[in-house]
Amino acid sequence: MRENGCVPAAENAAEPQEDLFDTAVAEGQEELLDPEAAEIPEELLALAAEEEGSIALPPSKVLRKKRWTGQSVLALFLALLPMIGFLLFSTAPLVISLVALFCDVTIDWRGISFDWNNFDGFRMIFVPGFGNSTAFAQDFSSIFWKSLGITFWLGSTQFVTLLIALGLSLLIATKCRGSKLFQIVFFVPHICSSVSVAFMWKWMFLGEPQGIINTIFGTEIRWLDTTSTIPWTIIIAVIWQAPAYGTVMFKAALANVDEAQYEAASLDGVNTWQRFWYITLPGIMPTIFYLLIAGIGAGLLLYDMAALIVTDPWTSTIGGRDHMALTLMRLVYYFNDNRGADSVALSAASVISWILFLLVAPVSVWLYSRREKRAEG
Amino acid sequence: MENVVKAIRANAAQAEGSEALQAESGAAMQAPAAQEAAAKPPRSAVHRNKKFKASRIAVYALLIFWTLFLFLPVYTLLVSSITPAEEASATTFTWFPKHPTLQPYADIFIHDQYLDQLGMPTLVYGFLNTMWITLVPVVVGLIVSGLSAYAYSKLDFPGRKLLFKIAFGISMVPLGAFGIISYLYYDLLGWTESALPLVIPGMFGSMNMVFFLKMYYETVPNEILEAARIDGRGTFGVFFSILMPLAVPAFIAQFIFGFVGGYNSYLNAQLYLPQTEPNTWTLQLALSKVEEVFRTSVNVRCAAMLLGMVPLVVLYGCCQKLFIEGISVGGVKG
Repeated sequence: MRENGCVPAAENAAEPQEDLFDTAVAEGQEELLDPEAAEIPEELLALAAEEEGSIALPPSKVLRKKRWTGQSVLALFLALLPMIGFLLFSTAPLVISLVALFCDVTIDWRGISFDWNNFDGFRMIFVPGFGNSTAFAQDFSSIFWKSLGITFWLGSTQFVTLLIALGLSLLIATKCRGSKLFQIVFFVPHICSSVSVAFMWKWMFLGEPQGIINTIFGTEIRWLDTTSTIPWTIIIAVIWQAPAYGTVMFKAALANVDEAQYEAASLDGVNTWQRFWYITLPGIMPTIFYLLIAGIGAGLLLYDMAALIVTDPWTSTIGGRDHMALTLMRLVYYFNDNRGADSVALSAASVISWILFLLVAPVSVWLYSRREKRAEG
Repeated sequence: MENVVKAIRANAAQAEGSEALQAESGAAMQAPAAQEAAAKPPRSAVHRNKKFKASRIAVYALLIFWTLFLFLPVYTLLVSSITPAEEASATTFTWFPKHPTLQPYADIFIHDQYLDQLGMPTLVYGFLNTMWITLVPVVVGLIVSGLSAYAYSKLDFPGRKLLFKIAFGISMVPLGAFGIISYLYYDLLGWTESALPLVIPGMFGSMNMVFFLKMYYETVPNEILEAARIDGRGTFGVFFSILMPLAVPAFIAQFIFGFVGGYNSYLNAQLYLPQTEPNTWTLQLALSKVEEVFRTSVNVRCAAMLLGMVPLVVLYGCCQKLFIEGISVGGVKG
C-alpha cells in the first residue's frame, strides 16, 4: 500500500480489495490472482472502450463523463507540474525583464523597487554617445551595432555546420566498411563540454611561436588578439564541435527514408544527384527544419565558446580586441555583471535580451509552422 | 598484395571524369580497397566496379579527413599533458616528447591552489558538486515529467487535450534569450550566489520530456494498465510498477540527454555560483578557471582538461548506442 496515501478519496470504496491484492502481489502470488482478474475485465473493458483513458476512473464512475473527481483533480495537478515550473522559472523572469526595459530595478534587503527611467535603457543602446554620460563612459550604441554584426557573423556558422553534418551523414550512410566506427567517433565532440573545447582551441591558437597552428604554418600570429583572426578562432571551434549532433540526427533521418522509393527510382534509371534531390532531401526535410530552428537559436545566443576562447582582457575593451568576439549574449552578461556600476545597466541588458528574443522567436515559429505543414501534407 | 593494390590504383586512374579520385589520400585507403579486390567480380562487371571504387575512395578520404580534424586538437592536448615542462620548446610545438611523463596527472591532485582550503583536489570537489547539481534535477524532473505525461496520455480530466496543446505550444517559445537576465528574478528570490537556480527549475521537468515520454506511453496498451488497476493498484501504483518499467528505454534516453547537458553546462554555473568560493564550483566552472587553480605549469592544465572529459567519454564508450539514441531523440521537439 505504498501509494495508497496519495490516492484520492474517490477510490476509498475499492480500498479493502486493493489491500488484499497488494499483499498478494507482494508475496509473489500473482498467478493466483490471474483467473479472477481475467473474469472482471470482460464487462469493464467494454465500458472502458467507450471512452479512452477512462482507466483513471474507478469502475463505478466510468459512465459519468467529464466530471471533476478527486482522481481527475490529481491528474490535472500532475499534468500541470511542468507548466508550473515553466511559469515560475521561465516566464516570471521574462515579466521582470519586461518591466526592467522601462524601469531602474533595485533589489536589496528592503525588497525590489522599480523607478521609471525615461527610456534610458533604449537610449543607452540606440542613441549614439548616450553611454558616454553614464558611469560606463563608453558609447554602447556603436558597440551594440558591432556586436549585432558579430553575432550574425558567428551565428551563420550554424549553416556551415548543418551542411557539414549533412555531408558527413551521407558519407556514413554509404555503409562502407567501418562506417559504424566513424559514426561513433564523429559523435564524440558533442559530449565534450564547451569549456574543454574552448581550452583545446585556445591551446591550438596560442599566440606564441610554440602554438600548434603557428608551428604548423610557421607563422607568429597572435590569433586570439588580432582583430581579423579572432572570429575565425571561434568559428573553427564551433565547426569542430557542432556538426556532431546534426550528423547523428541526419543519420537517423536518412535511415527512415522510404527504401521502396529508392528502388523504384533505380528502376527508372535515376542518377545519384536526382536521387538525392527528389527522394533523400524531401525525406529529411523535417530534420533539416528542426536543426535549422535549433541552429539559429544556438547561433544567435552564442555565449560559451566566444566567452571562453576570447576572454575579457583586463582593459576596458569587452569581448576581446576591438570587441571582435562580443556576441550579444556576452554584452548582456557584461551589463548584468556590472549592474552595480550604473542603474541603467540592467535596463540595457533587458533591451538586448528582448531584441535577441525578437530575432530568434519569429524565425523559430515560422520554421516550425512550415515544418508542421510539411508533416501534414 | 602490393600487386593488387597497384592494380586497383591503375584501375581507378583509368576511370574517366572521376574528380573524386583527386581527393584520394593514399596509404589509408589501401586496406579496404584491397579487401574489395579480394572478391574480384567477373570481367563484365569491371567497368561498374571501377567507378564504384573511385567513389568509395573519395568517401574514405573525406571520412578520414574529418576524423583527423577531430583528433588533431585532442592529440595536441594529450601530447602537451605528458610533455615535461623542461622539454617544452619556446619556438616550436613539441609533437613527440622524448621523455613523456605522467607526473602532470598526479600534479592535478597535488599542486592544486585550493587543496588545503577544500581538503580535497578542486577537480574532485567540482566533480562531486556537478554530480548532485546535475543528478537531483534530472532524476526528479524525469519522474515529474513522467507523471505529467502519464496524466496527459493515460488519465482523464476535463480539457486534457486542450491543455496539452496549450502547454506544449507555450513551451515551444524559445526563451533562451532571457537566460542571463533571469539573474534579476533569482536575485529577487534571494537564490543568487547559490546552486538553487541550477537545481530547482529542473526539478519541475519540462514539456519537452513530457512530449517525448507521452509519445512512448502511447505504445503501451491501455489494457495492461487497466488490468493492473483491477489488481488494485492506485494511480501511482500503476505508474511506478507498470508504466515506468515498460517505458525504461524512453527514460534512459531522457536521462542521458539531461545528464550530458547538466555535466557540461557552464553559463549558469558561471552566472550563479560564487566566484570566490571554490567549494561551490561545478567541475566545468573549476575547469574554466584552470589557470587559477593550477598556477604552476601548462601541462597540468592540459591534463586536467582531458581528465574532465574522461567520465563522459568512458560512459559513452560503454554504451554508445544509448548515448546516440538518447541525445538525438531526447532533444527533439515535436
